[in-house]
Amino acid sequence: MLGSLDKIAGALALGVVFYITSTHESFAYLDPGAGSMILTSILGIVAATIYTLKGYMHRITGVFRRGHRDVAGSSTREPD
Amino acid sequence: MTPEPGSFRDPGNQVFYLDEQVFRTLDAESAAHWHQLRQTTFFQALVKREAVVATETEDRPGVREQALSGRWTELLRHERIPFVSYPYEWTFNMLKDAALLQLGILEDALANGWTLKDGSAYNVQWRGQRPVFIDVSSFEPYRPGESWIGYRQFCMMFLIPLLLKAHRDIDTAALCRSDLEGIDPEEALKFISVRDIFRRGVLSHIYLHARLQARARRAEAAVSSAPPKWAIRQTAEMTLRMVQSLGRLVSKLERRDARTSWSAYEETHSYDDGSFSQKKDFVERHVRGRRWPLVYDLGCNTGTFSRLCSEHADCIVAIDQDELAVDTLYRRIKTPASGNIIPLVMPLSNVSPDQGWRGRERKSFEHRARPDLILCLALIHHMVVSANIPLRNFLDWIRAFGASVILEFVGPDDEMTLQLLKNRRNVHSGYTQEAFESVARSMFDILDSAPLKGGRRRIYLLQPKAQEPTEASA
Repeated sequence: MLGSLDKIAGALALGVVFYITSTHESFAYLDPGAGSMILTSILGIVAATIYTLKGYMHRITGVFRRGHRDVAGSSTREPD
Repeated sequence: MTPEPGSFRDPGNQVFYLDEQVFRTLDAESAAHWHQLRQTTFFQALVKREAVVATETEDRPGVREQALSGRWTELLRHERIPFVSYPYEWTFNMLKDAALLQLGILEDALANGWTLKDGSAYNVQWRGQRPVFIDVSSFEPYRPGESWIGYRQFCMMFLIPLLLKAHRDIDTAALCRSDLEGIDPEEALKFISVRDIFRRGVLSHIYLHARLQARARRAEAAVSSAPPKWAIRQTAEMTLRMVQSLGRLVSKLERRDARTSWSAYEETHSYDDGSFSQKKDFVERHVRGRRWPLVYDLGCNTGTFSRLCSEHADCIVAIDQDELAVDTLYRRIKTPASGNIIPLVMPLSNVSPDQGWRGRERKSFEHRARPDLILCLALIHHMVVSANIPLRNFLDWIRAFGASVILEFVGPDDEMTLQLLKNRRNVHSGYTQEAFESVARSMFDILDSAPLKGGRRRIYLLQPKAQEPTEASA
């Protein structure tokens, strides 16, 4: 059982590596460094995930803040 | 037409000088990028707020005819930066602000479908105390799926030196001066302890970076054919968020509180108020009344006299070897308004040399500009007594700049000289005011002088004599 889990995890990890890397030639005069490019993709995924999660967190906490915003909004609303 | 010897790495463009102006030739691809770029709102905004150097398409037929041949199809004219400096001459906070400028520009570019093709610290120069991005040919349209190619270079030239300084207080200027590519992540890993790995930014940008780099190199070496270039499929959004997180990291980096003898100079110098004001009066009297295009303040400490001269000069280059003193000056003059003092760190007994490819890629301090005035206040005893540079040799070096000089001679009986002479009193028996004046007269006309600190010091206004000095100092 544990052996098959390892195989699945290994296949997944390999899939991720193949997804984020390819052997296309880079268009730069500067050698970006293969290790550095792998790192930028990891950092990019992490940064984008954190940004998205922060967005969700903001929405969730916004539910609790809504009452305050409504009060503030109503005070500045122009009469119809 | 004089080509800039340091402009050759990017084959798409080349910088050259003509009639004191700075030009850049572009190949067809770079020219196409430029004509798209100059119409974008974000680029115009960057130039307007002086984050990017002012640049125009040069349309004078005479100049175009001289410059455009072979693969060059377009010609740009840049605003001239008054004094070129290099990252290994900047303080911690200058390097940090230059990094933030570069990341801010990259962020704007990515948000508008553009990117920067590199991350070099040499793409930033200083207009007074404000950094300015000078390499407009670094902008190129963002290609979908591509990551930021300049990340490794940015780490080696900006981020790793900042991390090593912030967390380990390592003098990275010496490392960056000896290797113009910056500090390699694997090399940086040797400077950090296990505990440091958990400090801000170290795990990702040094530890993981070094490990992945070593692993990738081993993998590439194992392949018998030519190693492939790896491109990473990455969205613009991912790159943008990574750049923003880099910006947040850099902005949080601070140097641990450190205090050197010179950063506290203004509180601890050996002058009483009366003598110090006599010294200031002498300098101000001889500086005011004319406009000095370029002034060097050698041994500036925290820049009291640079600031005194700033309203009479176009540009002042304030140099000291004590980084914290210079950083104090930088933080003091750092305002959003434009200024004219460029603070730099350099050991004056071992100034930046000509180096890089063929020894011409980065210019030595001596070959970079021609100052009109040199302030050399209370420096001579450090050079002659501490660094053992012969008196005549030091004055010869100063004379070679061909500028007017305000020099403060610190006599052998001054307590600061006595402190330096403590363990070697007999070695510098020739260090006297008479000897100084005799040597100075052979190279300069002494136009004025005044005693300071009850005669233990003397300040001079020196004008170089017409003939060249006998001993070459370069």
